Amino acid sequence: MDYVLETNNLTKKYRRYPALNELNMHVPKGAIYGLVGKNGAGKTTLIRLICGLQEPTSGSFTLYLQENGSQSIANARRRMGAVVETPSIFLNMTAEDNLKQQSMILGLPSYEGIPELLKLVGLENTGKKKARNFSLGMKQRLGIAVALVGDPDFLMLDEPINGLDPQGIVEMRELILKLNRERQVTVLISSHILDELSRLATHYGILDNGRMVLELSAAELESKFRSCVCMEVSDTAVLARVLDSMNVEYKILTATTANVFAKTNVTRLAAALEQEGCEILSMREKDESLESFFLSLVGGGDHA
Amino acid sequence: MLNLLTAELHRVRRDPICWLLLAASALCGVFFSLMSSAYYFEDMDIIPFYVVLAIFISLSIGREYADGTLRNKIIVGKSKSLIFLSKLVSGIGISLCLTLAFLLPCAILLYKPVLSVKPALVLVRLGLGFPLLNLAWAVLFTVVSSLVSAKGVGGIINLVLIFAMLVSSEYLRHGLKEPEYLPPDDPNAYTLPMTTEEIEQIENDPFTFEGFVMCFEDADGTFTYRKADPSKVMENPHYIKPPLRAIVSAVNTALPYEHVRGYVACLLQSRKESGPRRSRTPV
Repeated sequence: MDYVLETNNLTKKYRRYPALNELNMHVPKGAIYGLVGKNGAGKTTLIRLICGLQEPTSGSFTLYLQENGSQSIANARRRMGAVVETPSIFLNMTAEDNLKQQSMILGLPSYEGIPELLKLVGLENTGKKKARNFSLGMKQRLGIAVALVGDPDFLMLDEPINGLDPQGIVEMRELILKLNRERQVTVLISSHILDELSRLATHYGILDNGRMVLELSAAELESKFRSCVCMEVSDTAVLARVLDSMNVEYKILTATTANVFAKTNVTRLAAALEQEGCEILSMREKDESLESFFLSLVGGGDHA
Repeated sequence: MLNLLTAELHRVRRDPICWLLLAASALCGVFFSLMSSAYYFEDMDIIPFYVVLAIFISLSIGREYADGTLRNKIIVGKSKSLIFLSKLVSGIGISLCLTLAFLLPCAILLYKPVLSVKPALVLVRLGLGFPLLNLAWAVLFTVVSSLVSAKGVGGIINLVLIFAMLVSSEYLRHGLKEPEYLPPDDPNAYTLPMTTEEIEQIENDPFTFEGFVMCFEDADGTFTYRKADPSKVMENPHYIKPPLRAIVSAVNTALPYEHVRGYVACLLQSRKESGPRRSRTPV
């Protein structure tokens, strides 16, 4: 498999605190790679290191097979665009001027692609409106447009949907999917909003305390998800006894609810419970979400 | 580098603050020209110009930090040293534009009286010396603003720097001007008359004369030389002695504010060279 980005024991320490600890990750070409982790897990630090905004303490990474520290990494970075933390745009300029500015930095010979880029991110009708008067969603999209100047093959987005309204989130999702499908742009996204990430990502990297806990494809993740039936009963103690006798795995959630992790014969289960004097109040099938899978991996002490 | 400079030019051209400060600089020039009581520049006060320059450079670089736009350059593979070099070059360019905006009203409003008393060489000095001085300040402000990522803090440091240099330069200069000996009220009390040979030696080869010589001019314009009596002279405790004197002098010379003073002094010197002072004419 061709990898756009690979890290090899990448470590970044702030004094004694390791923000990244011997991290190994692999971003396949053409993927939408979802970087998942709690606050302080090291997601932004990782993106900053790849972008060259900071230097690693030890370890290395290769971007398009060019090792960091080599002369050729600058050329590899020209194939990359990124929006780190906040959109990096000149607030006193129009959307078009911002893109022209970036074109000049890259030394592009013409501004031919700018109208198309503005259309792609849905900012073609902003005219002379300054970026400072844009909504947060528009700023995010302009930030992505700036990152897309020069037609990069690899886009890194750090929390791109933070602070966006539901419509903005949908627009952002559509934009990322469009870039990936129509322009074959490999995308790395770090996000806290795991549900949203699960609608986009083809690959996941789960970070905790600066380490890569797990790296897997969306298909592998799906196979790991455990389907279950969430049952609401009058007494979970009786339910537990019945399920134990049937040798079925379960998890008691409250005094009246429990998750049952197996396909059981519902009639037999209902009959057994009725015999014990326990009522079934409701039953619904439930798929384990990326969120619960993430929490089961890294623990739920902090919010993700 | 050329790409970065082109982008800088594009950014500055679209910055309303740049145009505002250019106008402020031109106003500084008009104000200075109208308020200058003499076309000799002896009361030249160009500190407001440096305040304008400091504000502009601090805002220009600080805003790139605040908006995060510096990141866009690093992400696409531009090295930090190249980025700061481009900032330095653009800072110098801006200072030249501001200088031009400052000098243009001066040239228009003062050219007649100045031309009447100043030789062309002095005007060339004015035309070249001032921009060169401003380059030194622009470099200083750019370095500070590049090192301090907070826009406000960078601006404050630059402004403090101007006034700190002004005060420290005044202080050092005052120290260096202190006389080695403190003369009593009556010079005859601590000086001795000099022989004809000694006076000839002073006039022909003053560096070979050992001792402290004082020269007095009476009302007729006659000069009288007297040498200090070592047994009676009073040493000045505030006099900065070598080798500290050399260090203080070097530090003072290195301060850009001293260059401003030196530049003004150079203009005043030219005035003396150009002949007797004429009556002042209102500008």
